[in-house]
Amino acid sequence: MDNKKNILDFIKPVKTNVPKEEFFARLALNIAKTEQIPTNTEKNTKVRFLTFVYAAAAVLVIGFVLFQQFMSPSVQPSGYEKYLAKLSPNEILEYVESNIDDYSEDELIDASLPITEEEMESASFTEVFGYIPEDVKKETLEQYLDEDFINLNDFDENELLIF
Amino acid sequence: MTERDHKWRDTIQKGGGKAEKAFQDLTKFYGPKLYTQVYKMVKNDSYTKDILQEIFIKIWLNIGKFEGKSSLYSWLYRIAHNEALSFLNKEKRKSSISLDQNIIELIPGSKELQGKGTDEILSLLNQAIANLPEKQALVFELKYFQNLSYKEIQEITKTSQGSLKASFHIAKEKISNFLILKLNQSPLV
Repeated sequence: MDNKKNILDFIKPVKTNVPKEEFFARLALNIAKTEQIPTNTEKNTKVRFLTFVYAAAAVLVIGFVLFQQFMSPSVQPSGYEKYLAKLSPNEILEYVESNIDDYSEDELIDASLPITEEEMESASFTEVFGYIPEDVKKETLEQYLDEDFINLNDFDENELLIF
Repeated sequence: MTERDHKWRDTIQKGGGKAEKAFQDLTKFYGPKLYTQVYKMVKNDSYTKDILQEIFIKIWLNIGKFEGKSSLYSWLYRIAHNEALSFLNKEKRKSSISLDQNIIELIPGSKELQGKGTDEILSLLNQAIANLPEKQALVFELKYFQNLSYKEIQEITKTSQGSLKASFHIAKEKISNFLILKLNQSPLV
């Protein structure tokens, strides 16, 4: 053999007599008509499983969020405080006068207990004394102090600072 | 996978009348290539047509599972090769099949090929191809036996022409070495 030549150069492929195009067209048509493509059950099962997993995950997330909301204390002011703030002092006094008989002596004593020193130090004025309506004038406050024989000169500077 | 192959696969997967048309187009395009490949192995037109039917049934039923990571032709080539081998093993007809037409011709001038028959050489050639990596085997098949241009092979395999030329060159060297080794052994396997 000539060393420069590859052995395959001495082997010549003969062109194969391939059937005509109609043969292949008919073959495809026969197969398509007689063979039923199976539905991909494995794929369907996979899809169903994934749907279940996603649904379960969604339920867990929603449950967790609801649980968190349920467990955390509400920071919203109660409706009772909101409505009280809207009332004028006169309206409150009228209500107390007309309903005072509904309360027992003990309940009234509890409600009128003086504020302790600790509470005074730790709490702000509004927390201790509650809401002061905007329409309470300086004269009204002075009148209240006179009527109750409260002399501001009896208080030292620190005690007055809470006002 | 080429855009055309993608379209064929997706249309067949959806089913219906369009699927039949797409399958026909696919069979008309790849059928002749697979026929040549199988015929070279079984050397008989009637058997080749039977095997081809089995191949295309497999393609029709399973193309939906083909993910398209390789070229469609690589997948078809593998199916065809396995079907032909399975036929030959089952029927034990490797050496008893009547040869309808010559598949190769021997050109005088080679010391190694002197006195050898075309059937013996073709059998060795098939063995050599079967030992190649798949990509090299299908490039060799399309270039050597089907005489396609690199441009045509590029369109089928979606591989650059440079890479195809390298694959063909390597395949040719490996087959040549295999043939020389086997032909120098006596008796011929």
